[in-house]
Amino acid sequence: MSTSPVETGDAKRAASATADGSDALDSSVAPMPTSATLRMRRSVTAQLVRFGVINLKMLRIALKSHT
Amino acid sequence: MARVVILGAGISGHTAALHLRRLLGEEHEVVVVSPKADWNWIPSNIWVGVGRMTTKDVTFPLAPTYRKKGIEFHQAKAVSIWPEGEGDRNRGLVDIEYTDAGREGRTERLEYDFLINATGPKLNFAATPGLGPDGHTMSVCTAEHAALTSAAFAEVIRKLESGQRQTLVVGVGHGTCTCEGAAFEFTFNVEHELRIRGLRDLAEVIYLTNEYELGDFGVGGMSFKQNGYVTSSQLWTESLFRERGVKAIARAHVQRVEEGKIYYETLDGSEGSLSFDFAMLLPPFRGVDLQAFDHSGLDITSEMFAPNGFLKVDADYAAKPFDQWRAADWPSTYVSPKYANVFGVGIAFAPPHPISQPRKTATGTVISPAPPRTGMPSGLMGRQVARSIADMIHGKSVLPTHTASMAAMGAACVASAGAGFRKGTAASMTMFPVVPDYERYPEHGRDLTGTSGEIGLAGHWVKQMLHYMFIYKAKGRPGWFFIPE
Repeated sequence: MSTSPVETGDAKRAASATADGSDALDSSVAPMPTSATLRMRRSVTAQLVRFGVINLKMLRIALKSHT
Repeated sequence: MARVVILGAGISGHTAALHLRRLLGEEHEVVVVSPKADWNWIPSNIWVGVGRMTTKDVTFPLAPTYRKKGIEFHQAKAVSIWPEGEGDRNRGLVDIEYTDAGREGRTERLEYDFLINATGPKLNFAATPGLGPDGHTMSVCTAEHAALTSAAFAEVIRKLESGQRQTLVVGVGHGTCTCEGAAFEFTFNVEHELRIRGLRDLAEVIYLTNEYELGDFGVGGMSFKQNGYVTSSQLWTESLFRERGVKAIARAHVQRVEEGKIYYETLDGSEGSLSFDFAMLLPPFRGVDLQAFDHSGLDITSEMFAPNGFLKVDADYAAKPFDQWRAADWPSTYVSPKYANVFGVGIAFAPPHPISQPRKTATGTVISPAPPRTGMPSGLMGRQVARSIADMIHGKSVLPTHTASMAAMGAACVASAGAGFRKGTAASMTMFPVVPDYERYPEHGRDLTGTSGEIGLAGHWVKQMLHYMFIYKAKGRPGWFFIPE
């Protein structure tokens, strides 16, 4: 197995390739979640609220689609 | 007495069958023809693929449910349709070939008054040499494929546990594939499984896609409202890739796969190769091999079906440039323009054009996602077509009475990883409508209130809930029809 599995590729994107020189897209400028965001994603209390919100959103689009 | 024949028992066909049986009296017949004995909740195949579920958790036998409901079931594949009948038979006809043990290969001719083509996709692994379980890559398109994938993934885990580095590639195996959402979900299930076992540092996880940008998902991407800003699914998805350390190669068409190596071409025409120890690459879809004949026996397949094998319905198939595409191009009643008693639903209908902007290389290789037709739209199409047919049988109308355009319906996509109450996470997305409508929503093409994306444990609970809810519904248990599609 190679530690750098991508051997050749898109020259245009190679210019912005990741540090190991692979052909992968450069996501180094993408926003990273803060520790508070990560905690919130795992918090049972907060996620119970989000569970209700996601269900309401899905129900809303389901009802809108059914009509 | 009327007879409705439904070809296919996937989400769309099965939903249509259950609703028709509910809406029609016992004097009318509802007949399902499916080459498979089991119903499969395909979205959960992802969990089978990483060993979190078994095939029994995501399937159940169709025959007992149909027997209980009074639906006639033939475990067979449709071979040809004769919408005008043949010889002295003027009713529509379908030739089928049985696939169940004991009757395998035997043929029969069924008559119909209404026909629903819900045959789903033909998994076109042959489009890419070396692709698929018969080649060098895995798949989660069927429960059986997912079980094979689970075994291969377990072997990767074993090697990692013994200290061997591994490269895992997940994505799509052709420039024209669809279902990027499923590949995305499987990627993060794999990543999650490696991380919770403490093996992540030994593994390289690479997402290989035909999307122009991450977050396209075959629907041209989405805009979300988040923390007072309108952001894009691209930024949101890239953030997740960065956070989890998953590399992505986009705008790629897989040319061929050899043992341990994927050869691909990118949109700018350059070529690359990728070594792998484990690869799960979804195949492109085309319509199943179904022929059509007129009353005299003349082959009319090319009149009824698009070149990709999907059934033409009430869409605007006129070729036009991307900037002239309209939401109104998309079908709403799913009736064949040639035969008023033939319908195509789910993946079996021919979309008028992609949703993502089409792109090709200088040498003509198409590298852009085909439009996805996920569970929610497929179920809704099945339901609405069933209601139209019931109204037509009851003499309320000679034309379809119910619509389900993908440009007027939403969809939810929950990409969930993990198991249990506290150890999961998910990226939950909703969009409305699936096909952007820039006349109705000029700025973003979609209703920002109905289009959203978030990451967290809650989405994992939602996905678990949907798994049990939709299997309950598909089994036709009490109150099943109160559960929306």
